Amino acid sequence: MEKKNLTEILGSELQPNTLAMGSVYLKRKLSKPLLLKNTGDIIDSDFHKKFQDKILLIENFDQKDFHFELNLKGLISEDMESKRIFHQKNFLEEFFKAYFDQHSNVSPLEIVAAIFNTFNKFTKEHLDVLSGRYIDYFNRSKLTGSLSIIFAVFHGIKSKEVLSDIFHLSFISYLPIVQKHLAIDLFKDLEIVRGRKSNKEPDLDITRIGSLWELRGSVSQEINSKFESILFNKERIKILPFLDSDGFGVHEKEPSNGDLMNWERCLIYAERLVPFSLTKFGDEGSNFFKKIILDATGEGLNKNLNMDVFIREILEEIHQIRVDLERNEDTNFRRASNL
Amino acid sequence: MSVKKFKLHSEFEFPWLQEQIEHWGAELLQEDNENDSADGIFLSQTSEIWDYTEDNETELFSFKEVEDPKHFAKVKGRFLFNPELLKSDVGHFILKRKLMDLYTTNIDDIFPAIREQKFFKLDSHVRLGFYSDQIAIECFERGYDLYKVRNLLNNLVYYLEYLNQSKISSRPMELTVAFTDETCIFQIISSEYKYYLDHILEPIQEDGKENIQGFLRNILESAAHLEIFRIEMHGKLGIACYLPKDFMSLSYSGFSFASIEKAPFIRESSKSLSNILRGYLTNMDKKEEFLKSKGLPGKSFSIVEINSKGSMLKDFPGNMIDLAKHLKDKLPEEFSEITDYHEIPDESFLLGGESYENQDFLSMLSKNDVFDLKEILNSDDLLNNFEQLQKNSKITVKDNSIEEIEEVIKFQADKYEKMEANKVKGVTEESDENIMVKGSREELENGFIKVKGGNTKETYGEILQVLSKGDLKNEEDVKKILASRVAKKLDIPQEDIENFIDENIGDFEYKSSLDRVNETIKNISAFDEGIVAVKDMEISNLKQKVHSLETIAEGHEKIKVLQEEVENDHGEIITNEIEGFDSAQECLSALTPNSTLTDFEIQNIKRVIEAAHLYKEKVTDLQKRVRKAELANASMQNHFSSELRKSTYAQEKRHSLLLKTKDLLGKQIEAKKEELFIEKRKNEKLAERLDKLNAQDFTEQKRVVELENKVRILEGKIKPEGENSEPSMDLNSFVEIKKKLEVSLREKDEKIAELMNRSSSTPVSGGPGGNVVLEAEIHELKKILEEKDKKLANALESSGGENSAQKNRELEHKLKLAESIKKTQEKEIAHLKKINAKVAGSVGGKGQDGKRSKLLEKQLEKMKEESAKHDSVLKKHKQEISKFKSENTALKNELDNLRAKLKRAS
Repeated sequence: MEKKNLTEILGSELQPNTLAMGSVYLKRKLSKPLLLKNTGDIIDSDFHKKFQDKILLIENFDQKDFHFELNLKGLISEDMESKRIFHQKNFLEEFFKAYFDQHSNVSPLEIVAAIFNTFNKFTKEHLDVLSGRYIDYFNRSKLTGSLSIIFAVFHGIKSKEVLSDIFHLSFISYLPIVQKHLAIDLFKDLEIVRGRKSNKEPDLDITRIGSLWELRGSVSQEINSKFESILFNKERIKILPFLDSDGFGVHEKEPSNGDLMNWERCLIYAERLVPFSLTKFGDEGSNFFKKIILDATGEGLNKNLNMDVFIREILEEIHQIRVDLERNEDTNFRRASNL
Repeated sequence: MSVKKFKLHSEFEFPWLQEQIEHWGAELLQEDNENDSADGIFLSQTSEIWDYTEDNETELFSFKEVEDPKHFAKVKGRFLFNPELLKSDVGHFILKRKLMDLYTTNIDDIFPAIREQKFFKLDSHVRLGFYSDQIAIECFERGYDLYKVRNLLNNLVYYLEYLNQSKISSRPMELTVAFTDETCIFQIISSEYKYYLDHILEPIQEDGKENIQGFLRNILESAAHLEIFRIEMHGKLGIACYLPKDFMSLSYSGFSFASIEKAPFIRESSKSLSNILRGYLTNMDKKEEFLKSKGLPGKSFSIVEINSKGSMLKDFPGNMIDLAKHLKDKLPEEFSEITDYHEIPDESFLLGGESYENQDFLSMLSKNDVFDLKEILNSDDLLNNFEQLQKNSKITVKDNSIEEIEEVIKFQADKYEKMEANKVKGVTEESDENIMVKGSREELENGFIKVKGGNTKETYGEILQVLSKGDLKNEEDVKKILASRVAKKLDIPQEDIENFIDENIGDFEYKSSLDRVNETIKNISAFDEGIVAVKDMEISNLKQKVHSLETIAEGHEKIKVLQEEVENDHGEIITNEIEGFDSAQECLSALTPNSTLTDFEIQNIKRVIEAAHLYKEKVTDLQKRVRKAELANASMQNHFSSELRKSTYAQEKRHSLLLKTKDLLGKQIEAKKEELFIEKRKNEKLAERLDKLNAQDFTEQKRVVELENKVRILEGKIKPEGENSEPSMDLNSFVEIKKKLEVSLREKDEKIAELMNRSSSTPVSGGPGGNVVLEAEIHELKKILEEKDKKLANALESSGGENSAQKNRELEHKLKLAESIKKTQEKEIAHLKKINAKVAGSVGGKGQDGKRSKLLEKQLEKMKEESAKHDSVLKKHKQEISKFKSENTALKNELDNLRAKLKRAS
């Protein structure tokens, strides 16, 4: 296996409860390094405690070209709205530079880790439930959670409460499904369902696993009691059944587009857009976010007008950022040439 | 979707409405149709609203101004419409939206006239200003009244914020500002949990003194129409207002409410305490909540909901203690309210605005909380201990790790445990009672059992059951079963119970009157708190007995407990009136006539009763104490865990702050680096320039020095000249220069001669080319020389020297010589050429000759090269000459100047 950019560090240099930016190996004197954590895995407190005195080898350590985390934290904690907006703008600009610029080759993990480290409130117990048996879903949730946060920031949501709840709900969302089905192929089935053209033909291909809608709705008492505490507003857990809806209102109780607020759309559309095929970080490629956002407007996934409007607003924003950046570069260039 | 049905009075002012409603697909019912229930009734006269009561179930619509909107809303008035609005481009759709119930989060779903929309997400009223400015500018550009815009926004957001803080709705507030050609629409959506009509009534009132009153009224004053709607299924609350450009022409503003129902029960708590209480109830740990914990001023909404399970003490012990202290110190009235508080039935607690008028604020607490609070307030040492504990537990968090804090807490907990133990002991000393702790037999002799937990009621019920079975053959069985049951309930060794029975009722002679006892036991159906219930007694007897037991217990509370117990065991019994006895004696006497007990046995029964009574008392006392201890312990633990939470939170915060500052510093350092780099580059450039300038300066200086030197030399020359009035020195130098020139010229000439010689000495001439060039060069040289000579001559002449003229002449002579030499050379060259041509002609076409010609050619090339070299040498000389020339002129000028000076001097 190709080892790129390995840095030798002391275990205590890794922050607990963050995501590993690259594979982590244990350095051994007599034999080859031992792989401890894959890219994107959580450095939990146990791990941290166990290896804090050991010498580890880690990929891409301290290779941060962007300040996603700094800006996110500023966005939710500043008192003045103008400062919040400054951070919002910075965050989106960096997002554009990192993932929409043609020459850029930044791993999605960079922003995923920043979002995770900012919002993560899961305790060890929670993580055991979330990642124990359902590691694939958990890894996917890192992407859906991040995407919904990115959507939310694009749409101007700056409340810490709301953003945090959006983030955590993304992780809880799959529990009702996987708790009822242990089928190995479930992941594939879910991908088929996700790829269906519209909700007008609901549950077309998944007679085997039943109605996804009903599954999501059956949030068990166990989940409720376990994860309620992590939400600022526990009423928000009521959104879970609707995560697969896309505003057509096919089911009797399903919300139509006119019943949704934007923070809910962020969750729903992120859930809809991230494929179920990704299981490991590094698979998704550096243009992951760009591809998803651009695909969402085209014929590709489904022709959902409402989602189209939602995404188009984001694309307009992106366009605006591009224009602003180019103008800035222009002025910078001029300034530089004047020197 | 079911078809909407409306009733319209035949004399209704707007006949077109009928058509319109049918056009929208709704149905119109006949006025006298009593069978179908309508969704709404259009009132033709506003006075009709007085015909309806608050129980009215059909929505009322009015197209005329109503005097009292609050009353209108109360009798289910849900739509007040100003027909003047129909002139604007939104009126029609407001009507349709309400009648067809087309409320959505997207405002452009229903209003096709919308030209432009702006979206804002507000997460707090505190940061509204930023957006209200943006919105105001947008509106100002389009010609709307800014005062009204700001008024609308303020009232909308503050109203919602009150709802947010009362947990009726939640963030974010998603605001859409939409513009049609004539109207500006504000629609704000938030999540909703329990919004009722009651939340409208107060704020819509005309003359509100409290803050929440008048919010909606203010909106109605600024907007042409107000809509409040719920999207019921998905928990959304929407408020929309319409602000037309020509607002002033409207006579009154309307409103429409959709899916707004009356609350099942609601009470507004107005006491200042409820605000304090709310402060305590909110978790103050979270920084984000700092606004919440402060709360908005004045009155607020609250719905009375008694949560009988929850306990604030459990969740926020610190808050509970704080509250208790606050009550005791500052609000003696409320303090007594709580200490006097007795258990009351739930119904009256919920609804009893009359009987418990002063307990508004109690409604904020759960039943358990009230009792806990009472417990704390009634016990001074509990309160004081907490103070003490809180003092002790002020952990100064500097850099201690969590482990350290945990240790401190452990230590404190141990300390507290010890303290509790001491406390218990202290109490026993006071009351001269010994307490058995966990089955220690020594102490058992003298006293009673310390009960760790369990429900005594049940225990007595058990005993009752055992006894009432009555088919036990001997006392040992009775004792054992009794003991085992009691032991199980009270969680103490069975042995101890058996011993207890032996020691306390042991001398009750079972053996001698076993049968009788059995009989008695048969008759006894209850055995509790000094009460003997007889199983076979008739119902009336039982009732009497119960009453007597009440009197024996002599305590209202205990009676209740007993009543409940008896109810539990003989639920069907206690329905009729009770007549009975005044004392245990009477009870016994009531019992004895029917039984055949001896006096001795009666005595024994008495003893049993007394013992049991005492036992019960002890047990309850102990239970109370245990409860206190547990309470204290629990709150203690919680207190520390909250302390821990706080400190860990502080640490986390510090950590994140550190990270943040680290990041920031990193950024700053990068920025600094960049600046430094730019600075460096600038410096380098400046240094380069400086070097250049220095170099220039240097050459400049050099020149100056040179010129100065020259001037000095010239002055030195001139001075003697001035003295001798003869510029001999000057002339001499010129002569020298000239000599040099001559020498160099001679050398050149010699070189040329040499060249000529060489070329002439070679058997074959190098062609005419080289010589031509040479000639030209020489010619030029000559010219230059001539010029130079002339100038020099002039100079010499003008300076009046004759030597130089002589030298000049000599030079000319030499030049002539050189010319003559050159001429001869030329002649020779021409001669050589001729020979060459001949040779070429004679040997043409032969091989050997070919070789030779090639050789010659090579030689020619060499010659050419050499001549080129000479060319360059010549060029150099030319340059030298030109230099000299310029120097010459310069010198001449200087001389002139000097001469002028001399003249002036002389």
